[in-house]
Amino acid sequence: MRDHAVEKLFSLFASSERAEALAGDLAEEREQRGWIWFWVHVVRIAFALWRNAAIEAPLRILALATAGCAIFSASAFGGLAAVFLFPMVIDSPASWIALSLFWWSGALWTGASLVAIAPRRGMVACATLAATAQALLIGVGVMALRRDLFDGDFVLFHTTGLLAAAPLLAGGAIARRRMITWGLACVLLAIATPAAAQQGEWHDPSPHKATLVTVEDGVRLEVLDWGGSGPTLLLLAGLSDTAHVFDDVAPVLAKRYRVVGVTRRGHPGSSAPATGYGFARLAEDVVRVMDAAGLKNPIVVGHSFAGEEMHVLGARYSTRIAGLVYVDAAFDRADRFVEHEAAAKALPGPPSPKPADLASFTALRAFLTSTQGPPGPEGRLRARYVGNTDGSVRGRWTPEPHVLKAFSSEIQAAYKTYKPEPIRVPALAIYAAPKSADELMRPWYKTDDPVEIRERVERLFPLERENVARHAKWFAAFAERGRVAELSGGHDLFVTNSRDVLEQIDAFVSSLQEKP
Amino acid sequence: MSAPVNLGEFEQLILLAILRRRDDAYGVTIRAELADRAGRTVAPGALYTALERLETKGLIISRMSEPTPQRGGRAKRLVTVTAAGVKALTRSVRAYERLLDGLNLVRGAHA
Repeated sequence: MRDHAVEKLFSLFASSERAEALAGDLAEEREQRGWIWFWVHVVRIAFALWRNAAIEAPLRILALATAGCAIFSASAFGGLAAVFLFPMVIDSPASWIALSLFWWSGALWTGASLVAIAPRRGMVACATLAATAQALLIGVGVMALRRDLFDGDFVLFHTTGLLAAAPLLAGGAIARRRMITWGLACVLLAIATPAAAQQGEWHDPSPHKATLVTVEDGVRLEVLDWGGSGPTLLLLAGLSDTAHVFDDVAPVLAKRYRVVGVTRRGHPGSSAPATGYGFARLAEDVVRVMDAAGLKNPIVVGHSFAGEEMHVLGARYSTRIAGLVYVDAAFDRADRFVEHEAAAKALPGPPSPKPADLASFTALRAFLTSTQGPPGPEGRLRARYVGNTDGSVRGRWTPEPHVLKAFSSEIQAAYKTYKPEPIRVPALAIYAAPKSADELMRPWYKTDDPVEIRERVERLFPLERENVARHAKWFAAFAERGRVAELSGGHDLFVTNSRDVLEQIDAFVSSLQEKP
Repeated sequence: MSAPVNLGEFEQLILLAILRRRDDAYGVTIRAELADRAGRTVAPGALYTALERLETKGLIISRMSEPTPQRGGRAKRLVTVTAAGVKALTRSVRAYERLLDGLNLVRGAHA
């Protein structure tokens, strides 16, 4: 039986007579030399047969392999196109299984096609294509390993690709052995799986070029470049956000600015070293990115925690930047406004997602939208939450424990006696400030006792106003060339009130240009 | 007739081994002959490649034997040296002899 399989294997690359004689020779000697010798030489002979056949007509084989590559790519792109036709099913739990099936059936189909095109050399072309693809994939894998890109999704994607060699050869073998039933099944599978593969992987649609910039030995930051021309805007995200929080606003900004975003160390996409979370070091990271990307005199626009980095930039690197825009990011961190904190705590926090809401990113988005309002770009959602390989959501992203420890001890130490060096560049501090108590009514309050909730919100509103006024006053003293603006909306101003934020940025930039 | 075929050392050894085994030259016996007489261990794949090349050059010819019981009923590929093969081999051996003449290599003068 085993000898029979070996004979069939050889017959894929050589005439049946040659295959019979070679298998017979090996079987004859096996008694004397043992099984290990036998199998080693099965592999070596198969390799020699393939090599001889490839050398016999190299151009022909090359042409066939290229044709195979085209057939495979065509089916792969067809599948991707199908995915984009049905974006709502993208996050199905079966998505990666469907993707794998699609790849493999495409490979099967390609193998069968090559043998159909060239009965004698098709199989050799299949093996050549498989070997080349394997070599390339292994190369890509090694590169990814070196650049820290080897995460769970990559492993799955990569393994799927590596395993595609098997169905490619199987497809060729089936066609070569003229196994009609199997061939038919293979065709059906190839037709059926693109439908299943409508649930492919999610791809970031934002038109940015993503690179990794080394800012320190072994520390690389994700830098997103949206291109554009005009004054340069350097965008910094808040804590537990990445540069993808700007995926939607950046393309709009890129119509009149050169736009680049940075993901802070310790966050998804960038390295997570054990140290270097002091504000000075974080600011230096930003300067290193400016150096590497060749950004001259950028206007740094930062959200929330990015204010801490911007303070350092405005004080110590004032000659390197044109201005600072704080988007709900300039706070006197030492100011403990106890009444405000108490009033805010008296109101219920947003509800947590139920298991059904974590079935997919689509479900999670729907849940967040209905309870808290739209969560912003998909790339942001997928950075703030951790996905499973089956398309479901595991939960909120949290930094690695060693990062969390280092980061929080730096933050606590700095906030205790909060005395950032005064900044010396033009600056705009935008605050999210409600204009009425209605704006503080969150969608999830409705389920609770409405009268009681309303009373608490009415109590919070003046304190909220006062809180903003206190921080704005602090900022006016802190930034000699600073200006303050207030916008309605929540803390995530980029998401809730992006148009107003963009208007403020435009006004600020033109004010810089008026006064050179 | 086309230009005379030049043989590599490995090809010469294989042709000689085939000639020695006469009617029973196939993969296993050729490799055994090379191991016993020339002390050369040859992998089955390497021998196969060489035999293909010799047959393409017309120096050997092969035919399938009757099915044999000891190899699961599989036939052997029996090879025979053709007239052209013998001629090429003779040419090589003569060239050797002429070059060796007067050197006394075998008896050890240059060993």
